Amino acid sequence: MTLPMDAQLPPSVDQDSALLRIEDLAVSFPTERRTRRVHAVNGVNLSIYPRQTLAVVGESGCGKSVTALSTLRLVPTPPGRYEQGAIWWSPDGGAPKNLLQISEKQIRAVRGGQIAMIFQEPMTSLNPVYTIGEQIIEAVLLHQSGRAGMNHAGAVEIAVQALTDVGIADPSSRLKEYPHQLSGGMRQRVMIAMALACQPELLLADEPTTALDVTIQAQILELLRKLQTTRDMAVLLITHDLGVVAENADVVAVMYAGRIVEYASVHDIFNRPLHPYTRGLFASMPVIGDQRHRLEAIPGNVPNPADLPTGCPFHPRCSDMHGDPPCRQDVPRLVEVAAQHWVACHHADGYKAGQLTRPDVPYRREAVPAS
Amino acid sequence: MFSYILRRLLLMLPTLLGVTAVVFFVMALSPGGVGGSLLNELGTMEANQAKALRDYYNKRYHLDDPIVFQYARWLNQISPLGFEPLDDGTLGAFGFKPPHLGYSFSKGRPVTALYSEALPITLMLNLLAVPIIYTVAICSGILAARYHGKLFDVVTGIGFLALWSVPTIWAGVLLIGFLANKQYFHGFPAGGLSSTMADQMSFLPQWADQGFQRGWLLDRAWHLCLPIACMIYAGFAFLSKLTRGAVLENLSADFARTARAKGVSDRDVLLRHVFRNSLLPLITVAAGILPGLLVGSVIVESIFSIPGMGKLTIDAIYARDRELVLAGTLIGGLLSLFCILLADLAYAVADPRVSYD
Amino acid sequence: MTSASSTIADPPHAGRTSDGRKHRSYVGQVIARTVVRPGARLGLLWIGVIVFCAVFAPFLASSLPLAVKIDGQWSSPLLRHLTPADVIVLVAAPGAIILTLVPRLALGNRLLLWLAVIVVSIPLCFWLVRPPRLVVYDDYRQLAAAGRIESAYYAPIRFSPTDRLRDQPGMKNQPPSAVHLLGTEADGADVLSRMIHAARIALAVGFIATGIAIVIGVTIGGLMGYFSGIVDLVGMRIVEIFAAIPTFFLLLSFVAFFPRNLYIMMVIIGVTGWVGYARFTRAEFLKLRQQDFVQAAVACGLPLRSILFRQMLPNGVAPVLVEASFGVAAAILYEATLSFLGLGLVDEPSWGQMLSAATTASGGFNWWIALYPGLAIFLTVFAYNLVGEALRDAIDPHTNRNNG
Repeated sequence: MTLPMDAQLPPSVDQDSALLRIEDLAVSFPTERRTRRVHAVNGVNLSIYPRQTLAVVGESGCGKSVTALSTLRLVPTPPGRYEQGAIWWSPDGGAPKNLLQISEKQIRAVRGGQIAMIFQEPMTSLNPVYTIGEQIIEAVLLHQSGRAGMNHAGAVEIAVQALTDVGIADPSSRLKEYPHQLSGGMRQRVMIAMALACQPELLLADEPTTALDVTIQAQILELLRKLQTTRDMAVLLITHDLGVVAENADVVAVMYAGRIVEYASVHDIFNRPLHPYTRGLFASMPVIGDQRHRLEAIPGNVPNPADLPTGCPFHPRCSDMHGDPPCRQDVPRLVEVAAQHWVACHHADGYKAGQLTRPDVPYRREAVPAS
Repeated sequence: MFSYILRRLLLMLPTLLGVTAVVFFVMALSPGGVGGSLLNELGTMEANQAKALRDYYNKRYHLDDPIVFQYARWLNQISPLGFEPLDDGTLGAFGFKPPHLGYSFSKGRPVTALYSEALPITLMLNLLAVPIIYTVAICSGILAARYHGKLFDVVTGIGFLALWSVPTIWAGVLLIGFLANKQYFHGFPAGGLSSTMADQMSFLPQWADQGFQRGWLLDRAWHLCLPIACMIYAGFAFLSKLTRGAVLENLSADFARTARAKGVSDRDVLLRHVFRNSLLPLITVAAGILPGLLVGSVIVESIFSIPGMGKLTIDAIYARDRELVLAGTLIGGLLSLFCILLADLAYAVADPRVSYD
Repeated sequence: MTSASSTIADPPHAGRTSDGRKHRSYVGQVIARTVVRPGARLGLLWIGVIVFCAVFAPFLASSLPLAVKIDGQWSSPLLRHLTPADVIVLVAAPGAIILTLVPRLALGNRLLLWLAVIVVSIPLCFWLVRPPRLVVYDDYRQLAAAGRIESAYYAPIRFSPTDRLRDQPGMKNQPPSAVHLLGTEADGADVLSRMIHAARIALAVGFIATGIAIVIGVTIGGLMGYFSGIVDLVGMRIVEIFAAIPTFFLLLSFVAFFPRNLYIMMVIIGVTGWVGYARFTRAEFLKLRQQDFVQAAVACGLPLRSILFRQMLPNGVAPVLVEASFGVAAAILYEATLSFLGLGLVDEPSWGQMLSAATTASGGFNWWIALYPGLAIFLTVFAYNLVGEALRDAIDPHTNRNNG
C-alpha cells in the first residue's frame, strides 16, 4: 500500500479565482484486522471555480462521498482519519483557509453557511420528529443570527422564500408539515431549500437524484441548474450517471479506488477519453438505435480497498494492458498530457512527457437556457 | 383519537375477564378451595360446633356454591349493570346498580376500604422510584453512547448488569442488617412508613425547645430511603442499555449527518436531534416499567413492613380470601393495561408518524 | 429486529467447506462467537462451579464417611445413603459431557438422546436404589470419639445439610470458624453444606422451569406464527392475558394455592413464564414463513412436522436462546424470592430460605447467613445474565459494528 505523492508537487500557484482547492487529500479507515488501514481517499487533487459545476464520477466505493464529506470535515474521526492534505477554501475571493485545520467553531460556521451539502436519501435525511419549518429555521438561525434584526419571524420569512425558490406551492402551510407527509421529490426539494437558505457559495450534492424517479430526477436537476445561475453558486456534483454529467457538468473528475484517474472539461472527457476506465464507462452505456448482440461491460469487479493490486489499481481489468511492467509495479500519477486534460495511465498518449501539476480547469459552459 | 381510546378501553374487558377467571379458578380448584384458611380452626373444635361454624360461613359467604356460580356472583357484584343483590342473599331486579367490590371475610372489612388505604402507599413508592430510575438510566445511557467503547461505557454496562442481578431480597436484608441495626450502623429505620409519634409532628422540620424536630415530611422521607433504594437499583440496567442502543443507532443516522452538515454543534445534534428520536423506544418500554415495579414493591413492602398493596395481596393469598384476591387481580390488571394504553398514547404524541385516527 | 432469520441453517451433517474449514451449523457459529467473549467466559466459569457443586453435592458435603474401616471391615456409608435423585443426577451429568464429544450428531438429536437416557434412568434408579430410611449422623462422630474407627475418608466438608448437630448443642448460630467455614444456622446445620446442596435445587428449578416454559412458548408461538388466522387471534388473546399480569403476581397466586413441592414449583414457574418465548418464536416464524426456502419446502411436499422442526426452528431459535439464558436467571430468582417469602420448599435447603433466616425475631443480624447465600444467588444470576448478554451480542451484527 503506497502512500500518495506529497512533496514532489510544487505548492499551488495562487490563482485567486479558485473557490475550493483540494490538495493531496488522503482519508483512511480501520479494517477488521486492525493492523492496516484502508485509504478510502488516496491522494485526491481538485479545484472548483465560482459558478462552476464539477462532476465526480465513479462506481460505489471509489471514495467520492468521502471526498465531499471531508470538505466539511464530516467524516467521523474516531474510525476515520485525515492522513494528509489540505482543503483551501476562499469565500468571496478572500484569503484561503485550510478547512482541515480551522477550529471546530469556525468549521461549523462554514457548514451550511458557506458550503452546504445535500444527500442521496431524502427519506431518511430529514429528522422525522420535527416539522420542515423547524428544520429550515434551525439552519437559518444558526448562520444568520448575527444579522441585525434577525428573529424568529424573520427566519420564517426566509424559510418561506426558500421553499418558494425550490418550487413548492403554498409554502407557509408546508412549513408546519412533517417529512413523512411529503413525497420523495418534495423532500429533496426541501433538502435543497434547507441547504440554500443561508446562501452558500458552494453546494456539495452527493447523488441527489439517485433515489428518485426518472421524471423527478429531471425536475430536480433543472432546479439545481436554475438556482445555480440565479445565486452564483458552484456545485460539486457526485454521480455515477454519465447522462447527468453530460447535461450538467462543466468539469469532470473520474475516480477509481480512491484516486482521480482522469480530469478534464466535459467536452474533452466525452470527445477524447484517455483513461481505459473512462473509455470502458462510455462503452458500457447502451445507445438507442445501436445494433449489438451483447453489452460491453468492464470485466472484473471493483477491488476490495483493503486489498488493492500493486501498481495501477485498474490494471487487472484493463483491456488495453499489454502486460507491461509499469502497470503492475508503479502507481500512475495524475499528469497533464494535453491542455487542461489530466490522466493517470502509463500508456496514455503523452504521459511520459506530461507535466506533474495539480488539476485545475476554470472552464464554465455558457448559461444553459431553461428548457 | 377518542374512538381509538374507547376501543382500547373496551378491549380491556375480555382480558381482565380472562385474568380474573384464571386466578379464581386456580384458587378454587386448589386444595382447601375458596376460604380454605377460614376453616383451619375447625380442626380443634367439636364435631357439631365445627359443623355449625362451617354452615354459617357457607351461608354467609356462599362458599359451598359451585365455583362458576361464585365467579358469576362476583361479576354481577362489580358490574354497574346487573341483578340487585338483596339482604337475604337472593337476587332482585335487573338494572343499574352501584358496583361493589365486596367484603373481605378474612379481614372483616369492605374490600374498597382496604385497598383505598393500601393503594396510595404503593403508588407513592412507585411514583417516587420511576423518575429516579429514568433520570439515572437516560443520563448514563446517553453518556455511554457518546463515549461508547471507552471506560465509562464498559463500566456502566457491567456495573448495571451486576446491579440487576442482585436479588431484591438480598439487597433488602443487607441494607436492614447493616444500616438499620443496632449491631452495626443504625442510620435508618428498619421498617414502617413513619415513626410512632408521626401524627403528632408538625409537617415541616422546625427548631423547638427540645432541639431539632424532624417534622412529618422529613420523617417520612427518612423512612422511605431504604425501601426506595431497594426498588430503584435494578431498574437502571435495562433502560440504560436501551437508551444507549437507541442513541448509538441515531448518532450515525442520516438525519444526524444532515444536521451536522447544517452546522449544528455536536452537543445540539445529540440533545436536540438524536435524543428526541431515541425517546420513542423508551416510551414503549415505559408501559412495562410500572407493572414491574408493582411486583418489586411486593417484596420491598414485605421486607420493610410497609402496609401497601403487596402486603395486602400476600395476606389475601394466604387466606384464600376470594373477594380480596379477585379485587387485587382486577386492580393489578387494570393498572397494567392502563399503563400500556398511556404508553401508546404518549408514543403517538411523541412520534408524528404515528396516528390513531 | 434481529437479522438472525436472514441466515439459512446449514444441514447438520455437512462436512467441510470448499476451502477446508470445518462446517458449523448456524447455532454452532453463534455459540462459538459467544464463548470467545470475556463476559461469557466468566459466566460459564461460575456456572461450571455451580453445576459441579450440584452434581457432586453428596460427595462434597456429607457427615457420613465415604469409606470407613470399623473392626477390620470397609464400608461406604455415603454410597449406601445415596438417594435415587442423587444417582440420576450423577448419571445425567457425565452423560451430557459424553454427548457433547460424540461427533457427527445433530444438536437436536443429542438433546433428545440425553433426555431419553434420563427418562430411562428415572424408574431404574427408583427401583434399584434403596437408601435406608433413618440417618443418624451422630453415629460416626461417636464412633470416632470412642476410637473405634481405624481409618476413614470423608468428604471435604464433613457436614450434611440436614445434620443438626444434636450432639453439639452449643453450635447454633455460630459465625464462620475453622470447623464451619461459613458458620452455622439457627438449628445448627452447617451453612456451606446447605449452600452446596441448595445449588442443586436452584439449578434444577432454573433448567426444568425454563425448559417447560420453552416447550410451551415455542410450540404456541410457532403454531401462531406459522398458521396465522384464527389460531393467531386466539393465541394472541391468551398471550395478552398472561402478559397483562406481572409474572410474579401470577406466580404468587399459584404457588400459594398448591402444596409445597419442588416439582410443582418448577411446573408453575414454567407455566407462568412462557410468554416471552411465544412472542419471539411467533415473530421469527412470521418472518421465516415468507422466505423462499420455506415455500420451497412446502412446494416439495415435506410434512408439516419436518418444515416446522427441521427447516424453520433452527433458524428462529436464536432469540429464544438469549431469552432462555435470562429465563434461567429469572427462574432462579423467583425460586429464591418465593422461598424467602415462606412459600417455597420446607425441608430441602434453598438459598432464598436461608436468607430469610438472617434477621432473627429478636432483632439480631447473622451476617454470615445473609451474605453467603445471597452472594450465591447473585453470582449465579449474574453469570446467566452475562452469558445471555454475550449471546445477544453474538447474534446481532449491529451491536458488533458499534462496539468496533
